[in-house]
Amino acid sequence: MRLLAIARSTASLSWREATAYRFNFAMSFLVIAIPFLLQVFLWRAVFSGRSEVAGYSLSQMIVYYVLALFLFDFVHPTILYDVSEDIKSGELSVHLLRPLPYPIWAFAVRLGSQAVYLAVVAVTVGGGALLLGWAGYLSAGDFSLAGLLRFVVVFLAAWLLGLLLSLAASFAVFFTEDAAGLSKLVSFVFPLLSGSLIPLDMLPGWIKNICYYLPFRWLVYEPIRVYTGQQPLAPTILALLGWVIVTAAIVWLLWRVGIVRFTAVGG
Amino acid sequence: MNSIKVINLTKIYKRPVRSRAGVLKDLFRRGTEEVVGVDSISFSIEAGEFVGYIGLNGAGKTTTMKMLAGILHPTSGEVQVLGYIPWRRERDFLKRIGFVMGQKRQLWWDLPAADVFEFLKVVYELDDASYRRTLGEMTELLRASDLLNVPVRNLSLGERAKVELIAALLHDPEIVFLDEPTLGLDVLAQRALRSFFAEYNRRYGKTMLLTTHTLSDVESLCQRVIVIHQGKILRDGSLSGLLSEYGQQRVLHVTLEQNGILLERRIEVDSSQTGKVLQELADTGRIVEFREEKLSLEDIIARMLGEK
Repeated sequence: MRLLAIARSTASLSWREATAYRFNFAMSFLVIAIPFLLQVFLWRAVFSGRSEVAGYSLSQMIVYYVLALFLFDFVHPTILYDVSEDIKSGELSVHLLRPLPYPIWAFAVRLGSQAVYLAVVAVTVGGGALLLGWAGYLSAGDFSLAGLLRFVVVFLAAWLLGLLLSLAASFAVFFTEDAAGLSKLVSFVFPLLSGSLIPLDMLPGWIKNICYYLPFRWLVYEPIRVYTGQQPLAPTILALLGWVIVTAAIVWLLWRVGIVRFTAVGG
Repeated sequence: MNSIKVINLTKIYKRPVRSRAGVLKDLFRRGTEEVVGVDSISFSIEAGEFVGYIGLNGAGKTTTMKMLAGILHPTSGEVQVLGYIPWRRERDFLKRIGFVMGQKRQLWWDLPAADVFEFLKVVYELDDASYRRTLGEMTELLRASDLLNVPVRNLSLGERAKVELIAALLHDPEIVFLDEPTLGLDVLAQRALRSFFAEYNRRYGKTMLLTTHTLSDVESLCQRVIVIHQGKILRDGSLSGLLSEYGQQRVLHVTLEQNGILLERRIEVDSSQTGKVLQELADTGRIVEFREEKLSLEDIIARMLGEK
């Protein structure tokens, strides 16, 4: 109960912070709209003169990218700037004085700021999809209300996993001192292995095999297939929750060992 | 009852050393060297005491305070603060201590302080009545009531220090650690904080431990001073005792005219020697003006540490 109250009040702080600059807030819509349009133009060019690429129609391909775009920023593991700065600068000690576990604080801060972003992305991507439908790029058969409902459920689970992966990556800063290297590695491999660059079934077999054992496909590729009905909802949620438990354990471990190091070394 | 009890507390930490032997060697092997931050110190502080903890930069002041507040793990030794072992960071312990850091901030740049206060209220599980009472008293003492709803970035440095202070004390802690709380502030802001600390200690009987380089603060606030140098306690006793120990020492400020040129001289002498020193000066020129003062705490500390 107490943790819930804290999480809510932390998230409300970061919501307030994220909306502090109304111009930035307004611009963020545009920032999402542009890559969205570029994707549509790219795939229209790829599809010119053929009706199908690797089993996808243009309409299906656009649906794939609309959903991938929607998911990407929420599930993409990233080193949280605030956390890595807190650790490197020693500002973390301010947080250690509070009767509030820092991982919960960091999680709630990220959740709050992303909730703002979620509202922005939902409006932009939803509006864009409607426009594309109206312009005839999407066929009516690729819209599905039941699919959308399933997608919302799987999105929430994927978001949770994405947040935890970001926390784990951020706490790695305890041990590497500088996060830039890890950050580059993640931002290089994640788009490929999650299916947000191209659908995983278009990749060569050996990469697909690697992806099979990693958590990343559950963050983009599978949630989209849950929307289209190619992948059942229940096992996907189970897989995501399994990875959530594993990642939460890793976060906890990194934090415990990291904080002992931090309090032992710091001057 | 002891608020704080410290026995043989030692902190040795490692700091990285970049080898100059060669670029490649440096890339693969990074050495560390051990630095003794705090060297087997012992003291205890009674409830309600206001203690100045002073020393040069790097003497071990902040390191000690961080160990008392549970942010740092000691290498060896014992600490009890309100009966707790600080570095276990139990929730009840954290609720009963406050730490004011002059160079760290806990407020959010883009948000008004009031937003963060509401958050702290939840974190510290403060009930409405005590939260409002503490907030009211703090804002009144600091004359900060019109600063709470302004985004922190739009406050001046002095105003920011006031709201940071409220944030650090909002949960009404019993022990307050003040780590250079007036760092970088102008004279008026320094005075405002100083009178706040005096009142806070006097009115509520809080135990307070202060580090600062503004020794006039210590002189006007603390009943007791602990001087630390290179990790060791050099001196621990009442402020008046320290001042009276050097009570026979005088500082002479003399303006001397020699061959039409005015010279300013500052001389530290024993009070029995002032006449003799002035006589000697009078032989070399004409004394235009002179002033005799007792040593300030700053002079005393400079002398104590300068000898080391």
